Amino acid sequence: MGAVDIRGVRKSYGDHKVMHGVSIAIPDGEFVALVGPSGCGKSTLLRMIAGLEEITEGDILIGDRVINDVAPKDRDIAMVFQNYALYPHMSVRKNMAFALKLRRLPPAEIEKRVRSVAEILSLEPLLDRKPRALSGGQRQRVAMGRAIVRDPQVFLFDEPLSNLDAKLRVQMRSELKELHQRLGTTTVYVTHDQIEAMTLANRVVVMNAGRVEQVGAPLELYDRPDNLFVAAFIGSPPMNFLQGAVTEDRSGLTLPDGLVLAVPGGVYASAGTPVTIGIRPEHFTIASAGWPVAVSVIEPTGSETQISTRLAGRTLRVLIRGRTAVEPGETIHITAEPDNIHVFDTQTGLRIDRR
Amino acid sequence: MTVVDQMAPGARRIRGRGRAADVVSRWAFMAPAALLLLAVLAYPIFYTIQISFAELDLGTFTATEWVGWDNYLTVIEDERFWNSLEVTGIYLVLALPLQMVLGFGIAFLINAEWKGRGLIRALFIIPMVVAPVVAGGVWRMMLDPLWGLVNYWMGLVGLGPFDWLGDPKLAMITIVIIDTWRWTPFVTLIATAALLSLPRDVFEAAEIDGANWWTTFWSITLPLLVPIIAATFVVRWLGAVKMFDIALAATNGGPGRATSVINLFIYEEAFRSLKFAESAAMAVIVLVITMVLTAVFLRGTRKLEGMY
Amino acid sequence: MGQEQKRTGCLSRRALTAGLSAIATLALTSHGFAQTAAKDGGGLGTPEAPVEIRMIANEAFAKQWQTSMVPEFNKVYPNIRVKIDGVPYAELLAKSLLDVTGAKPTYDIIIADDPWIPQLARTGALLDLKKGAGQWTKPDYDWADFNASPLAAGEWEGVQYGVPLRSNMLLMFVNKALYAKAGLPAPTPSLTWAEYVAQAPKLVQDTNGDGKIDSWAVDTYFTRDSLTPTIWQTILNSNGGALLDKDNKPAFDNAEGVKALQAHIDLLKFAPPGASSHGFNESLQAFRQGQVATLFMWGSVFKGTAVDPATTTLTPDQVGIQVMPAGSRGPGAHRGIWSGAITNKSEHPQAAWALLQWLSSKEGEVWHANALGVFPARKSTLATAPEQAWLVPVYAALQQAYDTSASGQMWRPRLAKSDAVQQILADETSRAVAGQISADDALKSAAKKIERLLK
Repeated sequence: MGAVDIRGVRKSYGDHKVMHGVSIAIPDGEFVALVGPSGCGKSTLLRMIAGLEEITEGDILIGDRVINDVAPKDRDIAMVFQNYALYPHMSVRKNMAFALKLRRLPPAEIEKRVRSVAEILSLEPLLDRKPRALSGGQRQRVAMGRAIVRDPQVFLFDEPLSNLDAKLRVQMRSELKELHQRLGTTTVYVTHDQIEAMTLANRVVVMNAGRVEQVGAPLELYDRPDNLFVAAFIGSPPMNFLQGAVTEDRSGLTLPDGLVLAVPGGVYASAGTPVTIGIRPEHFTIASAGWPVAVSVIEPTGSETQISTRLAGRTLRVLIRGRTAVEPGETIHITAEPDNIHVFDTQTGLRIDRR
Repeated sequence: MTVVDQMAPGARRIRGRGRAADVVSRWAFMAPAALLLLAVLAYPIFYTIQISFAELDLGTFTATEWVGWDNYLTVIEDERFWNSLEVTGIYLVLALPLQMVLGFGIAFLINAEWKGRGLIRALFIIPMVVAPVVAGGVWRMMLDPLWGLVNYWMGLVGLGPFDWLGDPKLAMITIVIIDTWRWTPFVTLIATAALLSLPRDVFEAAEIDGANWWTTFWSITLPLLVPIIAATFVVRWLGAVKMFDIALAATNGGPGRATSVINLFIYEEAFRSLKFAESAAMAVIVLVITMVLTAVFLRGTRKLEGMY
Repeated sequence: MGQEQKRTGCLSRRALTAGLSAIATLALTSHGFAQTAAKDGGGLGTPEAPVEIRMIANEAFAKQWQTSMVPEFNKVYPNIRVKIDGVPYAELLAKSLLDVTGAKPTYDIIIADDPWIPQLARTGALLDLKKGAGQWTKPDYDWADFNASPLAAGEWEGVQYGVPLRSNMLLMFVNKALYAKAGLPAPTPSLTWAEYVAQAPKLVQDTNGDGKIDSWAVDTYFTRDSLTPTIWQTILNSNGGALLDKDNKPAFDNAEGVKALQAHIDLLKFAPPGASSHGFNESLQAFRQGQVATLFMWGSVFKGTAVDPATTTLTPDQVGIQVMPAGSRGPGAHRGIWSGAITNKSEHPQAAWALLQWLSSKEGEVWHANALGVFPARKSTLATAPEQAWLVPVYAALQQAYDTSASGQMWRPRLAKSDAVQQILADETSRAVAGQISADDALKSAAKKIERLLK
């Protein structure tokens, strides 16, 4: 009943098209993260679900009802805004009760609901405070409480954690996840932070320039990015890329400057095809044989170490667990498992699978 | 680390160098402004107070003799003074709420998107930049029963004729109209800026929460605007108390004393009748009344802000 | 008086001004420190070292004087530079007063309206023109040639402080065409108030036959203005009454006074709609547009209101000008003379007096009247044939107005508190005109206040 079905949605402001046919089916109870760089249309899509933006073309369904022309208040959704959008002149209690009051619920019922949500979010001691007397994290909780108390079919989150400091963000992230597991309400969550998306969501929708690049479970996106954009976007530190042409024997890559690199496991594309291979930093291993690279910078973080290396003028990042005795200036050899080497068609950007 | 923590080292440094030096340097920076303020504001006020307790020799313009409360008694016994206060009160009670409601109302309307809004906004500035004497004169012409446009227009819909400036009751209405014409744009400008600065997402939240136009206005917009409405009111109140130029130009305080607001009366007594000492006494009384009422309004404003 | 005290006086003046300004938002200025007047009169200047004199005047004519009168003056006195500052009428007295009482006045010459000479002279700031400036008076300067009435405007307590420079009288303007249209004979100086009022209803008429009244009998000052009481005051004077008795006690609080004020108010019955708020500008406009048959107004505006083709369609043969209707004592008029006076502390009293003498001399007056249309005060000038034809009836009216005003003492009180008296009268007159109070009560109230004011 809380499923959200987005069918071929387009959006344009006058002649300016910002969304070019987006379709996503979100089953009831799922936590979906919309992720992408700013301007990709993720917030616009969320606001169209909320009813704050007109849908130019296509349909959005909640449950089995087309809600294109339904007023926001009748869509049975609740939204948490980036800046919380709390009513500054109302106490926490009134903020949470406002929507219920507008629905003419009996005061006792309102109080009961507010109390129980306040308990879930540990907001009880703050109920009579005004928003300006709260810390950022507390405001964030109130904003969530205001959404939860309405018991909607769908939660919409618009970058709700982006105004919190890093530590609080991590904490709120796990609280959010716990909350979703507890309530099981369909949730659409917009963020530009891929870590947030990966950790929170059952499924992640990667968007770019008004299009969906890939929809999938977090690890699916990590393991099998459909295209160069997703490959580059998902993962931190980002994937290393090398462009070149497939060698005659398809065992490697001829780089633009003529250098020939052997690719473990070979390249599964016809000879001469311009391809881009991608290898995540954490998938490189230091070995006795492999690509010879010059170490330029070593960045240890304790549990892992990031090594920046140079290969014929290109930078390759290598991430290893633990520590290393390697020194800058040294030349080391790196290699990767064939399964961890992604091959993309340079022209279309699409993934080329092993055949 | 919180902001306070980051600031602490700086604060310690100043304390380390010595509080005295800091205080001295602070005052050194403030001194020129403070002196200037003292010279242009405080001294004239104190001198006005001095004059109000003295007999003023017109030959030398010095306060010659301490006469105690004599000037004040003369003023208090003068029914014209009380009449002027009453007239001022009527004017304030009529004009201020009207200007506030109209100003914010118009701001509300032109805040919505519609064609030609920019032009209307620009036109709105005109009344404020027209000199009060000119405004008074133009309105006099428009309101003239014989050749004025207003009565002609009202006649077209079967109203009137009205003797806008000759009828004592209407004359006050006329002053209020002219003053409102002149000052509503000011309120509108502030209100427009205030409306634009309201957080959009709060209204979206209200929309999703199910608030209709009226609930949004009543439960969200109005409370959010309260501090600005209150501040604008105080600014307008201080301006309106001083009003005399429009009355001077449009009715010269007449007919009778129907529009003789207190500052017009003080002006006449001082500069026409040359009764400077009594005028000073009146000015002081008005100053005190204004300060007291302003303090009350400011308190009320703070209370309102606290409530919201 | 010590230097310190002078300084206080000066600062105080500023402070008072600023203090009142802070509330009434009006700014005035004052200047400098003490300095004694030049005993030698400062001379008339030489080509190498010209002298400069400054004058404060009504802005209504300051510019015209600067551009037309000063060059003419400089033909006779080429080494005297004259700078004229124009100030709005409403602020002129206050500004003049603040300036002349300063330690070092900016102005050598003050141009004062009729009731102001006593207020200025009382401060001791004005030069006695006959004794103090007598040594520089030209032998042919003919004091006796002045009409008594205008000359008296520059006198206070037996001392002559000013000479008449722009004479003006409250007169009756007549639109003879409207009288003819109503089938009435054009008024003559012997017209009485009784006759005038009897004719007035007929002058409220529909001139173009469209069934709507479009022309009325009269317009004049009715609004709240310090000049409004001069109308009923003139009626009172022409019936032999006076505003104040010889002890400066109110003398208008009686049947004669009530009758005069009521007569003024009753004019509203024959005046255009809305006339109760009419003053100077509105009544001029009504006459200029041919909407009223008569106008009680300052004669000086006759040219622009009644005969100047640039401002009115009325023609000289359509209009007349004469004294106001006669009461039991005789015809009415009311004096409004702009006098020129010299400040005591002027460094160039000789040059300043040279300018005043020239402008008020027989030759100067004739030039002034013919070139600028300004009304003269001298009998000899009024006896000449003016170059401008419209001035001919004006001269006749002026001569009669001077005579009747002198004998009937038709002017505002010659007191230091003259303007305060006028303000009280304006206040109460306006209340009566607006119908808020009866004429009787208005005068009683005014008398009480004036008595207390002059105590």
